[in-house]
Amino acid sequence: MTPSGDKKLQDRAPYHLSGGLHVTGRSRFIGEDNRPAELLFAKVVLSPYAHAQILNINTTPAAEIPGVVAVLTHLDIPGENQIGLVPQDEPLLPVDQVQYVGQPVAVVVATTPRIAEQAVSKIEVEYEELDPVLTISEALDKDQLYIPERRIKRGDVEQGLQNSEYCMEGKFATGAQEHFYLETQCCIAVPGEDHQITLYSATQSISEVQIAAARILGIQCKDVTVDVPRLGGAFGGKERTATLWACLTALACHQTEKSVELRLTRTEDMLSTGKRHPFEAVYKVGFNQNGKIQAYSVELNSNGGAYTDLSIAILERAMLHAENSYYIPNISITGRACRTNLPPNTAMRGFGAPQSIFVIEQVIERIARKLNIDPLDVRLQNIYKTGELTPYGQPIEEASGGELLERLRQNSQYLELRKSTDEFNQCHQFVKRGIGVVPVKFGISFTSAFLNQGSALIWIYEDGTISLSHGGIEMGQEVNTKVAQVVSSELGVSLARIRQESANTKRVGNASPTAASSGSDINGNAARNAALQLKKRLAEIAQQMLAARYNLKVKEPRIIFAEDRIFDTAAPDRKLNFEEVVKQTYMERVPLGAHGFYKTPGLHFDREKGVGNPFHYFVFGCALTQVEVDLLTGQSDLLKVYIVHETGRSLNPEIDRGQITGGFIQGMGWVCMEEIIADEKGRYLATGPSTYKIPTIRDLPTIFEIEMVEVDREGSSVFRSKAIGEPPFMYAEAVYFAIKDAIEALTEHEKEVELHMPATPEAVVMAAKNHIHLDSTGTT
Amino acid sequence: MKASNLTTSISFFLNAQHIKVAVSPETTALGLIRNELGKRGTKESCSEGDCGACTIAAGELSDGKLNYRAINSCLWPAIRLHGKHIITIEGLSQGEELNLIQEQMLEHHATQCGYCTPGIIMSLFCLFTRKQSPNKQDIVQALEGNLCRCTGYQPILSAAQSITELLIGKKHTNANHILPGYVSEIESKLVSHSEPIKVIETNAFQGRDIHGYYVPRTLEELHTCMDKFGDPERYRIVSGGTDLMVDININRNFPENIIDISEIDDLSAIRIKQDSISIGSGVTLTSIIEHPGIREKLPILRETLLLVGSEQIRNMATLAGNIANASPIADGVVALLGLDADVTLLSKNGRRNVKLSDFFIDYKQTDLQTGEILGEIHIPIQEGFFNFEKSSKRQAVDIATVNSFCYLKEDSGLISDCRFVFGGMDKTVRLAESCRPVVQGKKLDDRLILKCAEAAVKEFEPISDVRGSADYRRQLVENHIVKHLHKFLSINE
Repeated sequence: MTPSGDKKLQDRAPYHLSGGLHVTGRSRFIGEDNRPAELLFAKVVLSPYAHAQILNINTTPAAEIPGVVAVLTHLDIPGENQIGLVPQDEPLLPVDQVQYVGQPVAVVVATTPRIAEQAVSKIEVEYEELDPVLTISEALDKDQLYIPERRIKRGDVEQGLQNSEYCMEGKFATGAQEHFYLETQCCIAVPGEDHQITLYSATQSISEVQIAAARILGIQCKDVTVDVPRLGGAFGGKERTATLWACLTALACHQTEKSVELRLTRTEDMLSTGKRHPFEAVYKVGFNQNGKIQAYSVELNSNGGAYTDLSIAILERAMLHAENSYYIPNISITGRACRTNLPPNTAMRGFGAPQSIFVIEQVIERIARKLNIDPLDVRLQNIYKTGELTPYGQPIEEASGGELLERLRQNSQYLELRKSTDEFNQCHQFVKRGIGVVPVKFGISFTSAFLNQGSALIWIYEDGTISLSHGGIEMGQEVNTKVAQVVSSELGVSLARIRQESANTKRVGNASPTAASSGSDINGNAARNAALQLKKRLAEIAQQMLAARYNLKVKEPRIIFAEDRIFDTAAPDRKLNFEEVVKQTYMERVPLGAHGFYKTPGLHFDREKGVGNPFHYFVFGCALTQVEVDLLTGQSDLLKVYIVHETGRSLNPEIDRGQITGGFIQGMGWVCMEEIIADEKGRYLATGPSTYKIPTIRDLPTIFEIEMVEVDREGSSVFRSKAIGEPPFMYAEAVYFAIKDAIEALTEHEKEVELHMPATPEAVVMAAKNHIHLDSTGTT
Repeated sequence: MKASNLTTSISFFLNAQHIKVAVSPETTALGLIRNELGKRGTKESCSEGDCGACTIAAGELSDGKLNYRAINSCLWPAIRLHGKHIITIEGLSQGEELNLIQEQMLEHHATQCGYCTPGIIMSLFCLFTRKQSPNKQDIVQALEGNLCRCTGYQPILSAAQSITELLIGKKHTNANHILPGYVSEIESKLVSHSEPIKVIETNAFQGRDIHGYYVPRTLEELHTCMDKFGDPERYRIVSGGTDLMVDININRNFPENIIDISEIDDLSAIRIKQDSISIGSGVTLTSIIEHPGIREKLPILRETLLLVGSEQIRNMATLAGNIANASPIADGVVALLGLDADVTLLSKNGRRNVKLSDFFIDYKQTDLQTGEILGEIHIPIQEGFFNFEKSSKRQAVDIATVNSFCYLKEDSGLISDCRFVFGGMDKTVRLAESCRPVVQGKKLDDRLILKCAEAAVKEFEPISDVRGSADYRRQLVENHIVKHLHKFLSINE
């Protein structure tokens, strides 16, 4: 049999497969090429209220405008008015009540975008305003939970708290975050014969869109094709959210029997789409003098918004990361997902884990302050060791958190950095520096086990070139590059031979969403499986060809595929060209197409009991940041960032580095800059980049050092690589703690300050104001 | 305005191509280039000039050479493309050969989803056409108006820095690897390209969102134009357009007519005199920032304006627009008020000078009368200490929550004159009047600083909004005063 598996990937650092297209402006996003002739434009009527009864919708004045082709409400839905997954609780267009500001109420289809826009303003909807529920506390008061509270428990927390030398309790709230993908939500729907429809949708989940659109239109999956060439960013914001806009476009297309484009403006997008879930946590912790945590109980309450969306899965991941990198003998984790009248909050990079990790890290910081121990030492005191069990009973294999923290200590020259930071603070009155450290342990796999499956389809054409399809969506994370690398490596061919196809339900059915950092794992493995099938067939033909051509007869043939050649190790200088073997395989009537499949092994999780092995493996890493904070203006400057991240055997170190860098900066936005504010009526106030501020190039640190530790791990995925998308996001929480550390330097770290998250300049100024002495006589 | 000037079509160069096309007044440059001309490398994302995805290079002749500026094509009426050379992402590579910027972006893995990439490359292109070896600060300044949500910017910065290294190392020469080969040809074509189409006929657009777009070239033409409408509700004067176009794109407020004053030569000068500096209302922020006389005589104005918007915005926006718009938080206005500027208002009947402090009447209301336009800004050149402070959620490209300006003059150890100006604290930018009596004639020390801060806080009643709470704003007033005065003390130590 042919050897494979542990060997090095042929080329680990090819450029972005679409990079050449991106830098020349030739890459095509949805709607940028092959625009259908006679394309119509859809525009959506959005609810101005967070909660209201719909009394009447008068579409007549809009319908009378020349150029308006159709005005559609829930009455025009031929199938079932339902786009929810589990549970099915979300209508495509509301029948009697709107549940959030920005909820689509009706759709206008017109010959130009401007006419559609004018028609929208002519639609008269009569509402009777109802009281909205906007906050977690209101929802808890009214018992508006999506599911009964969930719990994961181990040991005896009460006993543990009693046995601890110290106890503390507290609260911590984390804010929402807008995805701010550069390409807004969009879809183009094209009608086909016999009621078929093709949707070019900016979705991370082709199958979900397919199922929902079929249900809405009263047709079947076989009638709906969903195709995605690439996305202009997503970050979870096009996992569930895209389904709504795709289905509205599908409805418009179905009803007009014309091609229709729907593209949200930035304002519409930010007003009506869900964000990262805000969480509010209440905790109690018991610990000993050495900083060892004995008991921890935490309640995690999330603001789920108006429909379930992914709130339950997000709550679950939050709960499964509540202890982050630390072994805590007695622990109780309670989770509640609240229903409110905000846009349905949804997946975003980290998927609940950043929120719960933030709480335990806050706890660690407080313990360190209380005991006057260095926070890094408190972290090391508690960090997981190999073989220890998580609260849900999954053993931590190959625990490397402690080792990585030690590397971080070295890389950052921690002691000297601490010292120089303290010295700086001694001689500066209004400007202070601070340091923050955060380790991360992140579980890889969808916690819904059934989603952990991937499919791929490979065709080798007669000329030796290859068509590669898989279920992964390319959205900048370069899943396409990685999967193509796997195939090129397995078949020993150059990447140039491979055409990476768009994600399409016709080529790959029942695809899981590209999410949970799993894209390269499940699709890479599936593609590898397909490549191995083909390789086996090609090897047999190659063996026959070698025998015939060179009279090569080997007892145990070992056929190698490398550098576009095929040979036997017994005679490495007698090589066949890849294409001649392909041609011969074809002539022999041996199939040159293969469907590959992969399911992640060993996953199970009992949700009721909160026990199981939900994850295939864990990703480990840690980060240290140093900031300088102007306590008068509240402005924070990121000075230094050190990250140590264990990659397994990276498929492509440059892609992984890009994910670490990008994830960190996105996380930094969340912890100290980006703020989603709703008014008392539940309307988001920041609806564009002029009011919602994400990091710019000016926010880069002066020193940004990333060490990627490559270790061969049992717990890993394709070619022993590890997933990379989400874990680095959490490193940025170190920025928040560095800012807090800087403010606390005002009191020589004796007093703890209350610092709102995100630590915006406003939060900094307000946290510092009670500790700052504006006259120099008052400072120490 | 002669009848022969009336037309609806514009003529410009797009990459290597000459384009002659009919446009309507509400078409943006982005809409024309992306949708009508099909150059879909230029992306649309925010429509308010804050993300940079639609950045294009707009080239204008200066001394026979094309000078390229990055602009947000979503904020330019398509009509402004007339007579320009526009380079988009499609115009950089020649055949399969990548431009040096493209090549380095690729090699540094500086593109992920790719949606922001063309805009970023165009911003870098404009930077490298002007500076062969920009430093990190120059690169940051050129790119802070381009949002990227994927890469975390580090690989983009690395790509830009390696371009510099390659250019310095003479491994590449600027002319061959930054500027496309066709540029010199277009330079010569543009010299003879002076089709006088500058006024758009009003009747042509009846029934559309905007009926007419007027581009007077002289003050006389401007006044005739304004006279024709009479009622100022019927038109909007536009210079940089960065506010007006946001109002159109986001709020969908279409003025009936637009009068574009950006082509009036009389309004485009900076004049440095012995004791003052005059800046015409058509002068862009970039022109002010880059002017050697301003750099020498009024460095504080330059430093302040560098904090306004992004490179793209500064390439379009004018200081006069900042004033006429009467925003209560405009950085430029805070500085000008602190510098004790005044403005010349022009009408067909003549001119009058108004102290800037008297110009603002109420929220977004000014002393500008019907038939008047803001002609020139005059800034006295003074001795003393000047400082500008800005608190905003983000350091780059953000509107302040509170901004302030401090002017102090000291005479034998005592404060002899002062001005404290605050934005974001009231309906208009205004002086904090109560500070002067506290510090005037006194020696500045910590106690006096606190008294001054306390006095200032008392005189404002700010509101809470998306940019910050009232409490925060009050605290910032105190903190800013401390900051200004401590800076003053540290300089005078």
